[in-house]
Amino acid sequence: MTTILFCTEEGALPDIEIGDAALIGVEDLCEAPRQIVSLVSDDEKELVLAVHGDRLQLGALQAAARRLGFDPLSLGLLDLGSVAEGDDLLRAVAATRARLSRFPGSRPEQVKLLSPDRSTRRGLFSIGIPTYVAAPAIEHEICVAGDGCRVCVSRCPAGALSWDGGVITNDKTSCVACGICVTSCPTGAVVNPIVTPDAIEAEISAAIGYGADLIGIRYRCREALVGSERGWHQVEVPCTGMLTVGWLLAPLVLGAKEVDAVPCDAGGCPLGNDDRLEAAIGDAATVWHVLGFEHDASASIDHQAAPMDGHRLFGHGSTVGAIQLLSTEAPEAMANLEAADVGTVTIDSDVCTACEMCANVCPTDALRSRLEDECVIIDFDPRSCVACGQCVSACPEIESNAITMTRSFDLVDWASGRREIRRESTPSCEVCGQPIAPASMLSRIESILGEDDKATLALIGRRCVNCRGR
Amino acid sequence: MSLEDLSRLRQGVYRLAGAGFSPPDDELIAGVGGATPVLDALGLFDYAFAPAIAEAVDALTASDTDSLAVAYVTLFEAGVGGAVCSPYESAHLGDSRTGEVAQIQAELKRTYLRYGLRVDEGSAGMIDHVATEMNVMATLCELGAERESSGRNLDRLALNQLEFLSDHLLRWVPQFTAKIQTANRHRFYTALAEAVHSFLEHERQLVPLIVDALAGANS
Repeated sequence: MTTILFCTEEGALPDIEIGDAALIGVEDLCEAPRQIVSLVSDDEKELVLAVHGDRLQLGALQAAARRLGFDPLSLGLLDLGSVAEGDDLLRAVAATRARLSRFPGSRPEQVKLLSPDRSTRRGLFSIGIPTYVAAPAIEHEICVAGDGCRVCVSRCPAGALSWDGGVITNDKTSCVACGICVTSCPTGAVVNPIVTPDAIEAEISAAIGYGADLIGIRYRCREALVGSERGWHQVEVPCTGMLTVGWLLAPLVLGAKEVDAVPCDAGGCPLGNDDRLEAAIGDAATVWHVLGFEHDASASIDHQAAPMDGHRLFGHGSTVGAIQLLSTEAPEAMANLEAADVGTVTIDSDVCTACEMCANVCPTDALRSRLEDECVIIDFDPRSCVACGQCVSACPEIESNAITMTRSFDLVDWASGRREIRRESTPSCEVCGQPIAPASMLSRIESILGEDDKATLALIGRRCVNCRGR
Repeated sequence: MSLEDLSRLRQGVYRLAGAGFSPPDDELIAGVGGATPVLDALGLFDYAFAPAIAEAVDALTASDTDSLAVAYVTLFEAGVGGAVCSPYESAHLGDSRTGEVAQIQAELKRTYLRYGLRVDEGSAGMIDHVATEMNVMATLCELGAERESSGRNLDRLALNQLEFLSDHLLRWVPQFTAKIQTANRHRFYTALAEAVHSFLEHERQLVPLIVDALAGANS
């Protein structure tokens, strides 16, 4: 059973009916949320609260929820200030419930304690009721930091994430829970329980599925004060800087006519993420245009189609998934983008030593290497590339631009799938017959050693590392 | 909530953890079983770790001493090559072949003395036991509460708490509780491990805030 509590004046409820939920009007719910303990029965499974975000005593509400046996992060909070009435309100309730249904539960690592208000007078020191927000934590079973990946570390605007010995840790004291690490992780290993791809997709799908003249989906920064606008469903995200091109396009794929994003106001994002959103919107518009759409052409999109294997509409690979689903009318489209998480990797065979570092560090296996026919072969699948740049960072020949990555897509290139981008012969050891090293790497070593040590050079070129001492 | 109440609450949770990781008996079940109302009165449910603590207490009250004793031995004492989940800090952070175990224990003894705590002769073998370390933190919280109530400066105590947390508890207890949860031998110990994990994760954030707040109050 679901209970929906409305903060009302004198307990008056809005004029709506929801068949499978109990609606309760609560006077001063926002200012005195502890009263819900006596209003909600112990067997409730789901709790939605329609509140005024600017007045809500969140810490007290969380304490009350805990007492009722709810995970406070699982509460569905609907900001009445951002929702119109009638169908828009019903849609918002349905979408909020859909989002709640995908709440995965939270772990202690995903709970951040906000600095409490306090008196600074000595002897009268006191703290208010603590307030918690959801914070990201690393799913170490999925994380590929052990292979060298540090995408989240490089993208974190607060410097909260660090890489140490192949393990990513999040310093929650510094973490601002903006969500950028969530959408930038190439493997979906960074999880914030209140903003999972599954939950966002469920909310947007439910809002669109509700119908009733929906105009569009509006992503809203949690700090933004945005009034309601009829026909628009607002999806709260921690920071609009976390939005990728895929997340911006996904509502259109699902059937929304329009999508937009509202960052926090008051002089720009305090995290400095305005540029990220601007770039993502610019890239989304470019993609939309090159795929043949005008302002609103959602009628030509197959809303029932699913992304290709390994891609999702939200989560890692979402941009590739969205572009693929939108591309039925423009199968040969291509574009260079500014910040999108789609990439094309090229290798300069004249400089590359075929050391395979790029393939080893690639978190999505877009780059792979193998030994075949006495050659090292590196191949590349552009549909798996998320433009993380780890391959470029890891390349020992980075100063010579042995490997370059551009943020771009080419649907003809995607259609051809995985392809070879580097092949280098590997001489065999004269003793055991095993491969010694790629010829280009031996040449590189030769260039470093110079002509002074010809005996060593000759040995390195003829024997593998195991047989040189024999 | 005053800092004194907060210190009392934290003291209570540390005492509960210390008792929970001690060899079980009827006294433990009776004592810890009644902890929730006491902690509740101190504001337990205002804090994120409350559900995990309540679950551990519930699990204990639903347990009998015999099954607890068996689980305690199989988890923390017996086992081929050592306990499944050794409750000693030195077993997690030290290598017995290089003398690190003795070093850790000696350093702990010095630390306790520095905090004004004396180690009983009979307790020498328990110096780095999880129950002892939890009780040390409980005592630091208790002293903090007393100083706060009498208006005396507790900055040093808060710093000691932060130091002990960072240098000891947070360095090994998370992996210790993770092992208990993985072993999953008894509902109470699994719940206690989750509760301690949740509480220490909270302490990791809360104690630096307290230290900062006290520094701010003095400036």
